Amino acid sequence: MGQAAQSVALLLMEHVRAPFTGPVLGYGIQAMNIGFEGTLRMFAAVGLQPDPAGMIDPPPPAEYIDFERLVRLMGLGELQTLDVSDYEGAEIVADLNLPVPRELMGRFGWIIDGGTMEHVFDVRQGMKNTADMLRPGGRAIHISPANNYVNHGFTQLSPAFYHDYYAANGFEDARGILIVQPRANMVSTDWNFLQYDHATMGALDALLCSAETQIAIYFSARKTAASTSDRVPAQAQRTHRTEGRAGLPYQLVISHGAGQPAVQPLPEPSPAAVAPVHALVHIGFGSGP
Amino acid sequence: MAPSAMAFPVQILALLLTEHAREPFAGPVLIYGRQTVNCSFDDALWMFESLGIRPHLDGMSHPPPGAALDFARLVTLLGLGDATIFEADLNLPVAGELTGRFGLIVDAGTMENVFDLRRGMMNTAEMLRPGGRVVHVSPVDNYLNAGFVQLSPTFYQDYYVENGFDEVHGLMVVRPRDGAASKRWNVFAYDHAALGGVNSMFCSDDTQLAVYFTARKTAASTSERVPLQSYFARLSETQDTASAQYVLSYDPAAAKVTRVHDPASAAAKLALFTPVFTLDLAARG
Repeated sequence: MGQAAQSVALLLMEHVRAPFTGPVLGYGIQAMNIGFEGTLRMFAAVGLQPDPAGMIDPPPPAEYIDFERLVRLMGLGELQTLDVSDYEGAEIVADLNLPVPRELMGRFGWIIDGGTMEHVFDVRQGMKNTADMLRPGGRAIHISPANNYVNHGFTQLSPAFYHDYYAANGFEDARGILIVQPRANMVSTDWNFLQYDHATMGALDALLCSAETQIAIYFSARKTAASTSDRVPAQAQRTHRTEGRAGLPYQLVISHGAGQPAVQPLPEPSPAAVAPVHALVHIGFGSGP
Repeated sequence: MAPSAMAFPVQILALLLTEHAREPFAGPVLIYGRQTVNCSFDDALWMFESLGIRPHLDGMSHPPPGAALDFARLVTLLGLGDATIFEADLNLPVAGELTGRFGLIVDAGTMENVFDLRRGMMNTAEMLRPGGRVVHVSPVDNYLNAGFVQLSPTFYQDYYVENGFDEVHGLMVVRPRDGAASKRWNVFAYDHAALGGVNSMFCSDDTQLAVYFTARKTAASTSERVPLQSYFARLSETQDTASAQYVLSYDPAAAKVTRVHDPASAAAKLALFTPVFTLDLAARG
C-alpha cells in the first residue's frame, strides 16, 4: 500500500496540532509517495523540526521514502508493522479478523491504519483489536475510503462508523476530516480537507459527491484509562436511506476543486449547513519525489 | 431493530417479484425490521398480474384505498404464509430456535446499520434452511453516512462464495438522487469477473447506487468463514491490476455509463450494462 504525499501533509499537520507519541504500529507496509527532500520541505512548511534519527542514510533523491523513515523523522522511534502475511516484510503477522495475541495489547502510542480496515471482513474485531493494542493516551488514526470507492474494499466506511464506535467506547479527542480527492490525476493534484462535524453531518442521508470526486475519511481518537473496546454502537442518528432526504434538513454535494472544494447544499443554501464545511489547509504539491 | 417501519421501494419490489416469477420463493419468510412498500394494494395486484403471479387472496380483506402496503401482507399475498419480523439485535448471536428455519430472508436496509457485520452475516446464513434464499438491498455509493458502511458488491459475493452458497447473484440499482420514489430505476447485472476490481464504479452527483444481492444456502453451506477480498486473492496469482472503471449516471431510460479507465482486458464489456428489469411502472397509467 502507499500513502500519498497529501496524506503525509495531513499527518504532519495533525502532529503539529497534537503531537503523536510512540511506539508506532502501522497496518501493512506503507510506501510514501514523496521523496526525502520533499518531506523535509513539508516539515519546514508546517514548522516541524525533523529528528536527527531520520536524517541518517537518506534515500537517493529519485526514491520515495517509506513510512518507517517518516516515523523516525517525526522523532517517534522505530515503526513496527502488522500484516496478514510476512509477504512484504511485516514484523508482526496477525489477521485482524481474529483476536490479536495478548502480548500486543496496550503497547502502542500510535496506530495508523492507512487503508486496511475496509479490507477486514470482521470490522468489529478489527476495531476491537485496534483499541486493545493502544495504551491509554495512545491514538488511533484511520484513513479509509468513504465514497466513490466501490469495490475498493468490502466496505466504504462512513464517518459515523468511527465516530460512533469511539464514542461508545469512551475515547476522546475524536476528530474526522473528509479528504476530498480528484478522481483523475489524484497523485499530482491538491486535495481538499474538510472538517467533519458529526453534529451537523452525522444525520445526513446522504453526503454525495460528483463523478469527478472521491472521498476518504481521516479519523483520529485517543484512548483513555477508562476506554473500552467491546462496546458495539447502535447508529445514533439512524436514518432511512430508502426515501432520500425525507424529513432531513439538507444534503451536501461535495466536489473536488483546485484550492478548495465546491460544496453545494441541497435543496438550498443554509448557513447551518455550510458553516462546518471549510477547507482546513491548502498545501501545493508538485509531482515526483 | 428499526424503531419504525422502513420504506420498501416499489422498484425493489418489482425486482423481487420478477425473481419470484422466474423461480418462486418458498417460506417461511423472515423480514429484517418492519417494512412498508410504497405502493398500494391495487398497485401490487397489478404487478402480480403483469408478471403472471397468482395472488393468494383467500380470506384477505381489501385495505382502504391509498393505504400503504405492509410487506408482511405482501408475503402472504405471494402464498408464503405469515412473515416473521426480526426486531432483535443482529450484533448478537441469534437464538437457537431461529436456526435453520427460514426459506427466505429479506434484508432491505439493515445490514449497513449493523456494526458487527460478520455476526450479522453469520446470523443471516444460520437462520436460513438449506435451499433457503436471502435478498439483501444495501447502499453501495453516494449514501455516505446513511449507515455505518456502504457495502460493496464484493462484500456479499465473497462471503457467500466462501461459505459455499450457490446462485450467488447481484443486481446494481441505479436511482436518481431526487424524486426517486416515483421514477423508474435502472438495474443491471453485477458481473463480478468484470466489475470485481477496485474502484470499478463511480456515481455522478445526481445518482445513488444500491445493490440487490441474492444467494441460496445449500446443505453443505457454512456461515463462519471469513473471506479474503477476491480481487486481492486473484491478484496474488495473476498480478492483474487492469480493472475497467465506469461512471454511472441515472437516466430515465437506462443508466448512462461512461468508461473512464479502459485497460485492454476490459474490451467489449459494455454489454453487461444491459438493463435486466423491464417492468415499466409508469405504464399502469
